[in-house]
Amino acid sequence: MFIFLFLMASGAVVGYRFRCVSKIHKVTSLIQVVICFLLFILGFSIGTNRLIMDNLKYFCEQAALIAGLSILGSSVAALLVYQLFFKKGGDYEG
Amino acid sequence: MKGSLAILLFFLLGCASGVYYHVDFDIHQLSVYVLYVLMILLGINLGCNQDLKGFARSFNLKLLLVPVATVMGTFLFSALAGFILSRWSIFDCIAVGSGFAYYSVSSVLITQLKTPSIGMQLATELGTIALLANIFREMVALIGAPLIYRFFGRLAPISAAGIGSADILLASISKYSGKEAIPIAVMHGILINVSVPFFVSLFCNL
Repeated sequence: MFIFLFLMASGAVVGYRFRCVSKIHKVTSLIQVVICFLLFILGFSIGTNRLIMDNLKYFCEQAALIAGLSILGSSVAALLVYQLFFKKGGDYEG
Repeated sequence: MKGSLAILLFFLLGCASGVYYHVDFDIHQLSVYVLYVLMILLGINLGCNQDLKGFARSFNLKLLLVPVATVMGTFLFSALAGFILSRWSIFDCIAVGSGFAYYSVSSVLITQLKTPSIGMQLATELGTIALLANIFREMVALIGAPLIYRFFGRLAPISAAGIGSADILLASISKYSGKEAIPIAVMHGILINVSVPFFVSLFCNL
């Protein structure tokens, strides 16, 4: 856990230090490439796994349940925050 | 949307390749090293983000309530899934939920971080569920924005979007929640983006 956070924090320091260098902003495209590669690897390890491939519908059902509950939970919480703290002023500045 | 489709395409391509081909080297170890590179790149992207200055200038403590609502609501309701899905613990379900639609990073992180504790097989299954759940979240937030706005108010499309509130879903948020919501949506997206590796790592280790 700490390795990931440490690497991200180190990257943030480097990014801040070189924020004026125009080439560093191309990092977004590089991130997309690395993510595609990582997802390819994840897909590959799933593809080689017969147990997962044979039960894909089962995993989709579980994923849909967690996704549905996450959206419902965050929406209900947002509604509460809006009603309690933002609605009075009629705008977002409160 | 184009980026999401490309990611989905690479994932499906990987699945198809995995079904038909086998490799001799340790693919798990390779993904760990690539993930290290990704974490550094994400940090660099955050550090050189020009929006951060504007965000710091327009910062208002009250606006923090929106990402807090997103995080708390997601955690509470994802925990409910832990009671329904007997295969996974409450913390596993919260770890999946704490991807906040950041399917690429959360799925890979969960697979890596859960492997030592529950083994490669279960960790890959949970990573798959995280990938699918967070893709579903982004899709539902995108397609269902008008309904979410209608039933849960102006801030709900921002919360439902998760990290997508700062980029892919910004247009639909602006359409339904109003242009005034854009600064909140961007700030929300940045904060949730930063929090994903932290929360996923935290709940994977509980």
